[in-house]
Amino acid sequence: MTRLVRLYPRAWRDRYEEEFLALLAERPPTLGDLVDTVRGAVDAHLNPQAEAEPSPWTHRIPGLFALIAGAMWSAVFLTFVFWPRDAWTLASLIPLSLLLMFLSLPGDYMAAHGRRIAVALGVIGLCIVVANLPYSLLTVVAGVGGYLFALGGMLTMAAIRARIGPSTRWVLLVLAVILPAAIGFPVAMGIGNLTENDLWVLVAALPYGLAWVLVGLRLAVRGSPTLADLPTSSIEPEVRAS
Amino acid sequence: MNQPFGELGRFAEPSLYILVSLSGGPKHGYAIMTDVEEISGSPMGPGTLYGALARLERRGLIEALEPEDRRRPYRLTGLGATTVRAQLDSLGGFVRTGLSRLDGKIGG
Repeated sequence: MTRLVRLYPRAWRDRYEEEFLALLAERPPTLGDLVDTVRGAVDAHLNPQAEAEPSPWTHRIPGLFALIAGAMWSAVFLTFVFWPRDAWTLASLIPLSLLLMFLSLPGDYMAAHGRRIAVALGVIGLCIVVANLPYSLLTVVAGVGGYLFALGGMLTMAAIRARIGPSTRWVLLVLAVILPAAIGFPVAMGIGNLTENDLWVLVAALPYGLAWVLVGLRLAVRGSPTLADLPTSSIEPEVRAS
Repeated sequence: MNQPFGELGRFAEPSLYILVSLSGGPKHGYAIMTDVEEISGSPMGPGTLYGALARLERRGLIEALEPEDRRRPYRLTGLGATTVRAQLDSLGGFVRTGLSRLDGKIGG
């Protein structure tokens, strides 16, 4: 039923989608609701009531950050495999890439979910601490787990900002983080000495960069308000609650 | 039917129900839907509800408030209150005329 919302024009969805989905979640939809929703979508195309407002250029910045971050991440790992001689020079771009990813995250969402974000940061911090203990299976699990949790969390929040739906976000997370890690890391560890031009590096790392490129493209095209553009009243109650 | 309602086409009747519902105070989509069902005795589909809400908002008869979680409440504007009052007065006159004629015919 929620997929039917995609039948509505983009301007309508930008304005009404969230509350419309909230409405559908509050009661089991009937066949009549389904027909009525399709009819409403046809009407919204024929008689548009919501008009798309052009995004100011500042709204494209988060998307551009995400796009550049994804491109840099991908370039570093491609270089690592195909031009290993230049790889360590480019490796310094990874921290910059992570910084740009962080800057593209939705500040309003993070402020509204401050408690969850704090817990997530705490978990990541704990993983870092455990990963630095004397070597054991636990330190490996904590290291890889913390790494995946941090990268997966950032990608998910950027996808939320790009208004990518929950099911697509999960697909993105599985394809870009969970599956590459599940395949890439064990193989890499099994090989023992991971050589610089090993294709498994690409299996493990490239999907993440490509996912950021896709999310960044969508975010740049659609635009997203920055914290400075948002009314403070929409943020403060949530901040106080958390 | 007066001007704002006349141009709403098939959304005129749902719009009137929504305005009457919001006369009791701000409500979000689901609350409007259940209230309208109570008032009218028949359910209003989500497509019709949001088709009418979009039209009413565009005409300045209702306004959206800050969202509460994912739900956004709506409230009647001054213009909306005037419009719904005029519409109900008009319908009241129509009902009274109809009833008096019916009574006269039955009585005669």
